[in-house]
Amino acid sequence: MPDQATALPLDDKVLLDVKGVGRRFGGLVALANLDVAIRPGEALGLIGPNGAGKTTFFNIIAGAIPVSSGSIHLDGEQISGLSPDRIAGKGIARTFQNIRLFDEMSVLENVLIGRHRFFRASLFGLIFRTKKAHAEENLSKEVARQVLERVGLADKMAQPARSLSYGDQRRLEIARALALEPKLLLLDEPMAGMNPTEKADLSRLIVELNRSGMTILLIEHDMKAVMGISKRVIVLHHGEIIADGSPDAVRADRTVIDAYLGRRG
Amino acid sequence: MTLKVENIKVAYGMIEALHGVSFAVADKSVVGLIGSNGAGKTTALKAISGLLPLSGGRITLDGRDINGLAPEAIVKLGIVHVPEGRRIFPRMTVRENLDLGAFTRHRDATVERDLGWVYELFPVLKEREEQLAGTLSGGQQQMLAMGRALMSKPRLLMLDEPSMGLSPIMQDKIFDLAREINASGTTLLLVEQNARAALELATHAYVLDTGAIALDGKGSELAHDERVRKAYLGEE
Amino acid sequence: MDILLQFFINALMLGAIYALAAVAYTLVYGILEMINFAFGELFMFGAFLVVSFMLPQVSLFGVMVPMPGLPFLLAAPLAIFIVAGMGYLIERCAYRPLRFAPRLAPLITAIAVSVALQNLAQSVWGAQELAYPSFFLLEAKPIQIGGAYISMVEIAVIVTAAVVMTALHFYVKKTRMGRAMRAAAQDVEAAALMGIPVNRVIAMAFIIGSGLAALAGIFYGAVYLFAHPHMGFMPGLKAMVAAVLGGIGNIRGAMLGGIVLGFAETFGAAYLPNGSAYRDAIAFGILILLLLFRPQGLLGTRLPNRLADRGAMAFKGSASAIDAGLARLSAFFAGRDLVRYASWGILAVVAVSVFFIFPSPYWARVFVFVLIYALLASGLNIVVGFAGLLDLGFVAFWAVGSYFTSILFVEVLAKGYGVDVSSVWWLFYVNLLLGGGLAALFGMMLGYPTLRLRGDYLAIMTLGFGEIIRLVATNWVDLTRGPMGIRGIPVPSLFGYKLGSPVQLYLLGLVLLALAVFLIALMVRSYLGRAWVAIREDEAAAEAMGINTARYKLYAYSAGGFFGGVTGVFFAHSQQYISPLSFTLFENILILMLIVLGGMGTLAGPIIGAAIWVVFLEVARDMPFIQQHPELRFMALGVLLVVLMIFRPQGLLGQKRQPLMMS
Repeated sequence: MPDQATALPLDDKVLLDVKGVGRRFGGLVALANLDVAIRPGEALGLIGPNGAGKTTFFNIIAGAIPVSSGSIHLDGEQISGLSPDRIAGKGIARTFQNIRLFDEMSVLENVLIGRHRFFRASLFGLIFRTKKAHAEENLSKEVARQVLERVGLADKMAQPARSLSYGDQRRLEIARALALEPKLLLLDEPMAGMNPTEKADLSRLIVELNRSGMTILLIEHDMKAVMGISKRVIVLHHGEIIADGSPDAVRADRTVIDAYLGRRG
Repeated sequence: MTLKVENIKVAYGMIEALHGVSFAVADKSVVGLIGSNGAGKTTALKAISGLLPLSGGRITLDGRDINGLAPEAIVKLGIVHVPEGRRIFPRMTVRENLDLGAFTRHRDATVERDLGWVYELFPVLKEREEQLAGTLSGGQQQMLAMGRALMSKPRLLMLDEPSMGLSPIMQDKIFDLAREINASGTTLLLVEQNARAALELATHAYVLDTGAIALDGKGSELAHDERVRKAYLGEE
Repeated sequence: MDILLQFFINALMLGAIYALAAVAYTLVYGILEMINFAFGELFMFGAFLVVSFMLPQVSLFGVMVPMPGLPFLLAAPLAIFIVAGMGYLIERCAYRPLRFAPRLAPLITAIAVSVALQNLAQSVWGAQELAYPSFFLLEAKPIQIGGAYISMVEIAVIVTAAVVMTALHFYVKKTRMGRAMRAAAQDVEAAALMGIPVNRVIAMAFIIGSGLAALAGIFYGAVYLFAHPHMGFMPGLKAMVAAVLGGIGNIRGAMLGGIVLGFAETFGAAYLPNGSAYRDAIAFGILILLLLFRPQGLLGTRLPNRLADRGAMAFKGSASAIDAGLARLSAFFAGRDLVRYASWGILAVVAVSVFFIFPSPYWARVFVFVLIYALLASGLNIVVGFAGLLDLGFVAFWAVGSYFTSILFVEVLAKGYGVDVSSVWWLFYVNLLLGGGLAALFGMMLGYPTLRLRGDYLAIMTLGFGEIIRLVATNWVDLTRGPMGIRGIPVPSLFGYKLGSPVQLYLLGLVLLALAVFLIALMVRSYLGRAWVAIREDEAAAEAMGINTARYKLYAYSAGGFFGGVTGVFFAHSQQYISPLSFTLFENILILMLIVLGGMGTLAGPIIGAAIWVVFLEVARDMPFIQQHPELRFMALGVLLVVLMIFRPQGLLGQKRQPLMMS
């Protein structure tokens, strides 16, 4: 196994730059003035107790919820204020906390939806099945097959998504996101509800993806898993970052322990 | 009153959230159910109150099976659940909310007496009797939710995350009130993320970790148990 | 001044009736977030029952049956009681099993129930108006106020409505059950945790709502002195508009909405240019403006379709005989996948049957209708089946295509310029494209304001759009010849060879259908179709995957509209006559039901649905009982669809999944 420090192409470049992002719901402050910089190739863990604002933060990056203040840049280009489909088009793909697949579509078709941004054929092209239209469909099918191969679902391509086991559905969601060829992959509690074997398998997959250069932002409750995947973890509590550092440092941090266990004692 | 939860399994569609959980709540005690988010605490409460069906195991109250009963039947047996996020009826007045708490009871003098007791416990609710519940502050809404549940005259009160989203002062107040309610003879089953506060209050506590009981013991003992921290923040 | 006062009285009376029925919609929507389209029909049943009870004898199913001849004050409560019971049964048997089904399912079921009830009434009481017998309110002399007259019936309507509304207000505010109802409307799960029996509360909402609808219908009938199977349709729609106008789910809002609508309609009809002709369009115009600018309604706080997770088990109830029966039926349907294999077989049979029907122009004509319905259903299927958007305004596209080509050929070329239309036979083929294109544009227009809306609001919005188009076709006499329709549309011809015989039209239609299915298949089996299905399956996830959902919805509307328009052109030339009567909401609902029957989101489903239905319509004509009561066929379709939605929502075609990739 190669030395991890050299395998990760970490440099000073910032892929996702979150500056002073805040979000209020009515009077409630869900996120207060967050600054986060994600470097290319990084697997950043995002943890925090219930109601800390983790999923809100995800939704804000993905454009599902607009920011109240601050800005987000991807590769130097501002993405805050764009609609979710535009942000996906810029190369941010996500999974959902409670799996959201297209149940009646086949596994392969689900992954092809992830390829949506690469399709250019006009209605004319589709109706007359031009060479170009065929070529892009075939290319995407090929990519989709590779992605499915990678997550281990190649033998289930023709099944409807709803017929997959729970663990496979989680994998399919990741495959669908990967098909988008994202610069940044957002994983929202990918291991929720999995048994230990499934968790170990999925951890391995995520680590592999990261090793091959994929930048990942991961929300996860299973601390063991986060610690195994991420070299850096930020902790959110009441919408603020209360710690940012290596898993070990974060775990020993008094503020973090208090955030999780409560103030008394 | 004794509630026994025996090896229950609960699944949301294909996701199994509880993989065989057992615990017991003795009469007049305060039992804490703690653990990090996603551990299955709320699921356990919902299973008890009849909101979620069991896929295995059983729940008994004084030896009688209660799993499979409709939520309203469980309320009638004296188990009431104050849900996470309070879930008061926002477009009804405080008083109307409290009256709905007594929905399963026959209107008689005891209801009036209990209303008096709830107002004594939470004087702010008396002051705001005619106000729409949606306009109350978070802490006041939590009090209303607890008061509303008490109006059903429960033998077992289940509180789900009563301190969530509240200021430290308000959190202390809510825990003090919970203690007072218990002292008056109501058994409490407390689900809390604030483990330290819960352990201080609980006579016995169970630590849930991803759908299973990781450890249990007296509240005072667990409060100093290094394993609780690990359950929240992972093994070294 | 006198006339103003008279209008005021009329408006108040009409508003009171709308308000009563609007409260019914709002009560049920408040808790279940579901529009019970069937209230319009329960309204009608109220009127029919009261008249029947008051008469000495009534013809039921064509048989004279002696009736008790009750006085109005006894007949009315009895009618209300029965209708309330019907409302309960509908909820229990048709809606409750679907409480956790996808949104579209209860909506379609409600529409099917509506169709079933309407045709049941027509079978029982016949298609004629049943006149109100005279009773004390009608016999009393009107009272003169200034120069205006107010009849005793009007006074009774206004006063009763006021009393009932006050009582209802008191009921939901003060009584145990009423409070429970409000609590369930605000938070179903929390209500269950308080020991409120949610199922009973819902049943109560249906019972009260149905009773109110019946009362409104009784009054409506008493004012206009008749009962008729279609009488509940338009007032029902308007009451629904009133409920939305007031802020759906809000009882006071529904009352206000009803009154506002009563005034808008009465004064609009009186003072707007050509107002009385467009009277019915006023409500829908208000609706469209409202949904564009203030979808939460006048008093509402709730945005349409808050995506609440519904506490599943909060609705849990004890098992009953009905549940057991439903379970048995369900098991019966689960094992039937034979139909799936048979489906393409049926298609083949349809194609082959051509050769048998050649000698019979009658059957050829029937099959031309199969093709027209199949074409329409295929177009609508893009919107409903693939993109998952309920569209009750689809007939408008059909109308646009029909009127476009008819006006061009008959009014402009033949009458305007005196052109011999047989010399421009090729224009028919050009018009297929132009009519389709024009309808596609209308599709964009319809789609644009509805982009933000989901589910039931979308349904009402499209319904309003469709009704407006139909009303324009009926009333813009200079352009469309109004209810007279346009005659003398030339049959299609090819190089001067007329394709006028039923068999020739059948073949032409078959070519069109084949082309349409081919084109739809090409679209569906590409990223376009995948995007539609993705939107249907999970809009937020589709958006997160980079799909501009607004754009693809518009594409779906215009693609569906295109085929609607093309069908319109073919329809006009094959029938040689069109009138607004063809483009009714009922037709739209029928087309929708055919899709559900065959299987939504499949290519063959709409065709199979159309074939089964049109052929059944003809075959059943000769069945002994149905011969006398042809409406029973439509009732059977409604009932069948309710059963399908509960036990086999994928339609007869079954699990035949449409592949969404190029092959």
